[in-house]
Amino acid sequence: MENLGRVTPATALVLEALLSADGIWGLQIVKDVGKKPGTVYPILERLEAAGWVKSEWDSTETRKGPRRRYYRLLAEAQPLAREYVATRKAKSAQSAGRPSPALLEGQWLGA
Amino acid sequence: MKNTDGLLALCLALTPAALREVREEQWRADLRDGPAMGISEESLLLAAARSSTSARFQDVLHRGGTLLSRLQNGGNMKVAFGIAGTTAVLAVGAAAAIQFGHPATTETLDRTPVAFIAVPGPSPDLTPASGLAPVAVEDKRDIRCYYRADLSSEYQIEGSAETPRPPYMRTGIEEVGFNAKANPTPEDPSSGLLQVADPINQCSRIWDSGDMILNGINQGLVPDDFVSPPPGVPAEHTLTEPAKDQNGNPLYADPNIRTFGNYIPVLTECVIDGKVGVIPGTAEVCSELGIPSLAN
Repeated sequence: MENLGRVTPATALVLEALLSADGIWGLQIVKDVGKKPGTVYPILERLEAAGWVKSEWDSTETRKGPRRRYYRLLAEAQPLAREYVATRKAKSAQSAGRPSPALLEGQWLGA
Repeated sequence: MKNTDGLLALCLALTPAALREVREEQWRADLRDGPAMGISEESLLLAAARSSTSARFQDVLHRGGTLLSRLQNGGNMKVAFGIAGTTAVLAVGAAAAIQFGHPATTETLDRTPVAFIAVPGPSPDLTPASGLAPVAVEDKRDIRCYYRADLSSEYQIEGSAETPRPPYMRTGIEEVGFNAKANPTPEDPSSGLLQVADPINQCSRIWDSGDMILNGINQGLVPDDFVSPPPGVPAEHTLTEPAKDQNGNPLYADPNIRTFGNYIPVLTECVIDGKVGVIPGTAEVCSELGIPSLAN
């Protein structure tokens, strides 16, 4: 499992969706996250390439035709994913009502 | 959608062969079920175009694992630019078709930008980046100091069990008093680092410390008649003559900071992956490596 490096708010939302179920359909994640497929799918592909997520075909589907692709957050990635989600939520709550650090000419407000 | 199959075929043509089968079934299932969930075909096709472009670009970059080093060769550069250029053209074509192929639709078009690759197409006269204009870098907090004029080789240190090192060492200037636990931008990997005004001086500090010389790999950069101090021990002469960079600037503003006196080669500032790379070599080294120099 590789370090993700930069974790964007959208990535945290995708991780949150993945944490909500053992396996979740890609389009359901798109719906839950409220972002475009062109935002969500590259994140899922990045997570899979980094060894955080495994994708597999829906094995329960009975309909004919192409199968849906499901994504599952691997067990070893779940603690870090929870941490990222919690950090993002805390930051969102903190940032409400305070100026952006960029307004402070390089001086971090939180330091 | 009238042209869905054609656009899907274009995306599949861009997708590396190893991924094509999985992607095709996944995209077809999404296109079948997406509209019922309120997700438009256009947005799904744009996602497919973006995904296939990204996968193709990664494939080009990683094919053989040595593309970057191959870029130093003029002939291979033509091939690489040709592949990437074709990829870019196909991607632009796919996205344009998706955006403009359905004027009668009443749905709001997905305006998510596709990550296009701005790479020149093949040219019979292409030479290795000799005409690259210098490029400015806005964010100079994370500086790469390269061990050699080689952008891709990784180095296994003799007698060491550590994993191979990347071709460069990263350096920056930490902000005094920065509290990582209260970092307002945890997603920014350069949080807590200040802008580096003089990357050559910054990397010269590491060369001076001796950490940039990797035995068995790049000690050939050190002239035979240069006397290096023992590892971790400052040279005697630095007591009276603190080391300076190639521009004559002291390595540290504080004269009380002792320098080591290890060899510092001539360094040049180039730009790679949007970051400043400080590479051993003269002013031509950037163009020789196929990358732009840093604009001042």
